[in-house]
Amino acid sequence: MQRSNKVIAEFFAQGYRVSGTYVITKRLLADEIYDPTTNYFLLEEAYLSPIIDPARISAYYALMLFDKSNLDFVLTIDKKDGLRRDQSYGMGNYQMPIFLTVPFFEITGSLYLLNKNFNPRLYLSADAGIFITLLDVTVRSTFNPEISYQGGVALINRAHISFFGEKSG
Amino acid sequence: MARILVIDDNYDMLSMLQIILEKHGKHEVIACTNGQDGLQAAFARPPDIALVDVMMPGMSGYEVVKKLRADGRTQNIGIIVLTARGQSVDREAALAAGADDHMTKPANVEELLKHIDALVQRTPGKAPAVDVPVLPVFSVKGGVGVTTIAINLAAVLQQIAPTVLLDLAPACGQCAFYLGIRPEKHWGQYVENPKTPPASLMRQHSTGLQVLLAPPVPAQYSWPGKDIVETLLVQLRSMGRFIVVDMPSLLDATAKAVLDQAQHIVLITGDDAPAVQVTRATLQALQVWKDRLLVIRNATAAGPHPPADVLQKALRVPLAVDIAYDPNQATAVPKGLPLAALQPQTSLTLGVKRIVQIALGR
Repeated sequence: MQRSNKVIAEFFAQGYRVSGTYVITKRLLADEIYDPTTNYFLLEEAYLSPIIDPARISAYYALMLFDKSNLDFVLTIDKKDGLRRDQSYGMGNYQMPIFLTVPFFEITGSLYLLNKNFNPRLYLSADAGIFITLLDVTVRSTFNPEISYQGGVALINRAHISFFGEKSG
Repeated sequence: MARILVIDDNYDMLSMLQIILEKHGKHEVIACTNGQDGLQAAFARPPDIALVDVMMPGMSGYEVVKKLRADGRTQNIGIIVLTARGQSVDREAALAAGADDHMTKPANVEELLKHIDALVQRTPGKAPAVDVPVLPVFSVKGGVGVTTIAINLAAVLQQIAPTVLLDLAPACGQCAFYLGIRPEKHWGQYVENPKTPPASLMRQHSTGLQVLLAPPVPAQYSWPGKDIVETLLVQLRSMGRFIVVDMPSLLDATAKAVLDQAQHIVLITGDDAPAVQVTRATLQALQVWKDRLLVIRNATAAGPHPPADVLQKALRVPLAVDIAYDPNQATAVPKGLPLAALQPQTSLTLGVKRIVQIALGR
């Protein structure tokens, strides 16, 4: 089907899963999320589920406003929907499989780096932006590991990361 | 071609799906923008397949699926959940609610059509309308042996594959009498409460025929409307490979709804002057279905009968089958058995077998 100007993404924050529509007017979803000059993010047709029962829709809101700093991560199925404009031209040649945790979730995926010399501490503390972009992502619920989510891209709030490491094996 | 109900609150998505399914898939589409309207449309005229979005205000897609599965009219339809929530947990929830399949938006057109085709073919109960031939046996004139032909036709078809016989007489249908079945259950109860699963009203004859009888008492139940009879036929299709309908001697909207779905219409005529006159008038009224008509002479009395070519000239149509008077029929009725099940070589049985051969293209 044709691509529309609407992106459906999943937003995870403080024990909730919200599936909603972001209407692309001027900026891509990732550009909007990454933008450090804005605190809030507007979502349309938002469906709320508790992460302990993530398929159950407990509420519907035609419009929903997020405080971006409270988001744990954002997940898109399609890679194109989750990349910033600059990332869509290329993201680096070195792929680094990593593992990290945010509240209630364990996340694995790949970072794309410009060179091999990867320093996690430097990466988390010195790089710009409050989110990091992870590709080919699998997310597991900490308390229900049999519940998992797959995504092309996850935008993860750096400030909410507790454990971060290279993925073994 | 299948009839597909699409329920999606997004107008763009709804119109896109409608175009894809109609133009590319050659399917008939009923489009609804919310769960409540979708359920009403499904219950009024059950589709072959329902394509249901999950995220809709008011009633979620999961609730819609559960309600479709809970209702006798729609419990056997194919259901695909088409949603932007594409995680495994969402797939499991869709299947747990009763869906047959789960697809993630935006779906690839070819993949979507493939899933629909697979679902349509998966079970006999979910097969499209054309897969289960409906064979109404009809005459506007009474006394020409419509019921006799209908029950024998059903009995011969039953020897090939499971067959459903529907006695659509307004009341006091004769199938119960001819087959020796007590009409305790009948379609009147379905008309009274369309949520009644037709399977619970069927009577099984010793030949294996599944029979839905007519109400035994006149004017006790309403005559089913067009929508009800269409819905009933959809449900009966899940119970057999053939449906034979013993039609009433009238041509109202309900009767036309049955004829609309017929693969062949078995039009019975006599050969006396009133019968010829009525048949000629009926043929005019049935012009729209002329390609599906099988005109049958059924001689119901002994004595001289005009030659077939004379009758054909009078009717201005060829006879598909000419059945001579068969005195054995009188002996079958007290036994509660179709003659075709008792005597395979009598003129009536052979005539009915010929109808089956023509109807099945053999």
